[in-house]
Amino acid sequence: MRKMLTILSVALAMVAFASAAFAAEGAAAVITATSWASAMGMALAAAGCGIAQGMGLKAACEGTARNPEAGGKLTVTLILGLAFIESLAIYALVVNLILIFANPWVGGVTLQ
Amino acid sequence: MDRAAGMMGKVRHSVESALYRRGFRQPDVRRLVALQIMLAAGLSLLFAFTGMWGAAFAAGALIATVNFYALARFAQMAIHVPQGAAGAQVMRFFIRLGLTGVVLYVLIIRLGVPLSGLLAGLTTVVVTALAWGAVRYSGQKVKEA
Repeated sequence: MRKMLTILSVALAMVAFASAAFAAEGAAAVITATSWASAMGMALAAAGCGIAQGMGLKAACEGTARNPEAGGKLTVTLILGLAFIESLAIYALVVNLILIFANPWVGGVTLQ
Repeated sequence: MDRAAGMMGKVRHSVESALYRRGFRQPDVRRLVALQIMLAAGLSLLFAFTGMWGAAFAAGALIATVNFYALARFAQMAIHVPQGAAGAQVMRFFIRLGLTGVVLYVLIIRLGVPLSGLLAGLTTVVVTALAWGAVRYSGQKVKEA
């Protein structure tokens, strides 16, 4: 099932990008490709980080339910883990905002 | 040197007192959030003389600190909720991410702040977590010895 899903998503990606790669030229091709890349990138980042945060909190709740005395230690570890996960989503957001609105390949901002 | 350390201690105490009044009852969580606030404020002041880069750093640090504050406040409460905590956490995450997106859009696109400064400011949370881990690890080593 997982193998089939992987093959299907790769095929879908190839079909989606093929038209942009062969039909468009120059800046238009870059804009099409980066639009797709940022949309997919943000969707993957948000989904992955959301799932990870939910799983982390679920595990911490289960741990506290089993051993309530360890709740304090678990909370700190949980917060650090959630902060790491969230910072990844924010980095993805920054990169995608740059790609969409300030694309450096079509005359946008440069890293100062 | 002692005077500076004493002043730092006073600032830390006042930040922790303010956090306690705002519902941070667990000492470790309170210290962690206080460390993030102090680190973000201290580094922002340190880079203030760099002009626009310093302003971008301060903006990034502020975004990271507000997110971290909200996360810590909810997480310390959510861990004792028997059901529905994970769903609420994910919902809050998406709402916060949306608001952060709007702020970042204004900063990057409308105001055109230096990106390296903004990213460095956003990294203060990671620095806090690493500093916290390092302090804990060194504390454990001292205890074992």
